[in-house]
Amino acid sequence: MASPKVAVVGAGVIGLSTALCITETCPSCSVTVLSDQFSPNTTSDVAAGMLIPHTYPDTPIHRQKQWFKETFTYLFAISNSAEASEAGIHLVSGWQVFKSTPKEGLPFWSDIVLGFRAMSEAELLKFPQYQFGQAFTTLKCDCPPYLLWLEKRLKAAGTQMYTRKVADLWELHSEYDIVVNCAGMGAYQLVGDKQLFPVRGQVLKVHAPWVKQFIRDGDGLAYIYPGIHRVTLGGTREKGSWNLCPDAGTTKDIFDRCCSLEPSLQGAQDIEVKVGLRPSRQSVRVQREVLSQGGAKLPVVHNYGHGAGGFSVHRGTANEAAHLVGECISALQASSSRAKL
Amino acid sequence: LWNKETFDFLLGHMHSAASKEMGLYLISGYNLFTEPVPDPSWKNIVLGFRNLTPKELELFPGYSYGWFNTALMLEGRSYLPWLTNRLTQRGVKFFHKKVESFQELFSQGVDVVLNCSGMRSGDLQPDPELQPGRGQIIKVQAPWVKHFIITHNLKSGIYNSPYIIPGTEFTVLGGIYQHGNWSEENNAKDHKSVWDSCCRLLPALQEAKIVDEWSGLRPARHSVRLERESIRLGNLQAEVIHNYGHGGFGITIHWGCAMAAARLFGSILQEKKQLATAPGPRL
Repeated sequence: MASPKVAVVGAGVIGLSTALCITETCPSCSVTVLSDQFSPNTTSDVAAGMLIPHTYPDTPIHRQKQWFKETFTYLFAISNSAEASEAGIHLVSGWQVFKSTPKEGLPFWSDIVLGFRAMSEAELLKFPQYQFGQAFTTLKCDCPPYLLWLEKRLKAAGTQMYTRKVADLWELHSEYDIVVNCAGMGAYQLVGDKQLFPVRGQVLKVHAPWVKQFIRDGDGLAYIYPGIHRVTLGGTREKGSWNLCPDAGTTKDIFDRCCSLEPSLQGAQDIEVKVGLRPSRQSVRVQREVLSQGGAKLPVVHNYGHGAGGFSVHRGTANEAAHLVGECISALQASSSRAKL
Repeated sequence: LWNKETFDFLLGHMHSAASKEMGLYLISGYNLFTEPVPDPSWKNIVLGFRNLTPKELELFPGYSYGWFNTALMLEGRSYLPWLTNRLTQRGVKFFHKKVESFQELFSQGVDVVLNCSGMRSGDLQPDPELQPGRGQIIKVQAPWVKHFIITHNLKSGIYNSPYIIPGTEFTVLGGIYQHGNWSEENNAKDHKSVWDSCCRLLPALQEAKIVDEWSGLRPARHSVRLERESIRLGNLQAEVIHNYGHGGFGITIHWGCAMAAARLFGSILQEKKQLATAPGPRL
């Protein structure tokens, strides 16, 4: 197989980073990205893009840690280069505060982020309702810039990108040798995965350039994440809700919760409300599968179900998916050489 | 002490909605050194002071040691109008005029002068210890920079090593300190020195848009002149309280100094009251 034709379905952070990893590990592959949405209309564009991992209940912790480490290392290098501003990657320091001391001592990622430590008494004075806190420095991927930067690098590597709604992976069988499914929430319809469920998140993106630090309530329902031009205020975690319409009552609740963490936000301007559905699953599905229909076979690599942790582990899962694509190619080459005998 | 008083005063305002109007906000960042140094005297005044980890130092090739802490930023552009408003609310009057001498004010009936004339104090009363510490800065648009980065070169001296300080609208690049230089003109060599050294520190700055450049004179003195002076004018005793010579750290200690000046003022008031209520001369 001289030039395997690979189709990547999905153009969010997972689809684009997976496509990029494939071009890096398999330069002879011809990679095409197909998606019904591209930036700025993907779920990734709604997310703040903070590198603070979400813990998947059914994925072994060492695997999650490896994904996070690879992602952090990759982005750390970009943040320290001349491309940082174009890629939208920047360091941000701040605090995660808890109303009651969490049972789980140190989070698994505490030695990967920078300078992780418990907050001092003096720091906690700023949060009178909170008993305990963690201070650290991590990375943030601003979207659209990061997705646009990934698209630019893909184009430079010869990747084609088309707006196309794929209703069934078999549609692609005649045009492509391998299909990579990075459809996020779309995988529910596309491959009928009933273990995938939306967790609705509403956020406010506001103009408040004096906010330089992130603040997050350990319960995940109030967070302030300063981006390059806007600060993301959140949020909600509504399990099972497919509703993409902003809710005015929710907007007020989010704003009030964030203002109680950071009163100066009362002066925030230009409030934009956005909604995204986190494509959630008990474990991220990074897996090879061979679909059969009649006598035909279609190798598929799945890479979806990242829920609230997409940005935190994207590069790690993209690396793993690209590796699985490599295995698919080897298998195809082996079976085609067997066929010649 | 002045540093602590100022920090605590401002920190007290941090949890109010007024902080935005004041131009006050918290910011974290890095102090970088080429060799280990003892902890600074202010380590327990700021928030979350700690040494840098090896991974953090990877961000700054050429620097092998450093500190991380959370500090306060106070933007003069907002703070001065905020102070002006508060003073106006309390009945303080403002006059935009050049004062030629203390005498000029006393002859108009002023009882006490607080001399906060900074760099030009020498015009009102010669002070050879007051010298300009010339600085030049470049203002850029780099909104992705969320931390301050201050480098230290123990040989070239304070403020003479690159620093990057993000504000609410612009990021300031600096690193010039020229003792005795009165020029307020931007200098091309200084520009190149600041630009090159800051871009080395933070490569992404190469993409930042330059929006302004500025030179200013830090009113430098071996120590802040914060003291009372009684001046004889004919048969009158006039009082001046000096509060100038804050060099490059005026904002950092301003409130502590202001309170000290106010205490001096308080003792003047006490004396005047005692004189007024003292029994008259007995014949």
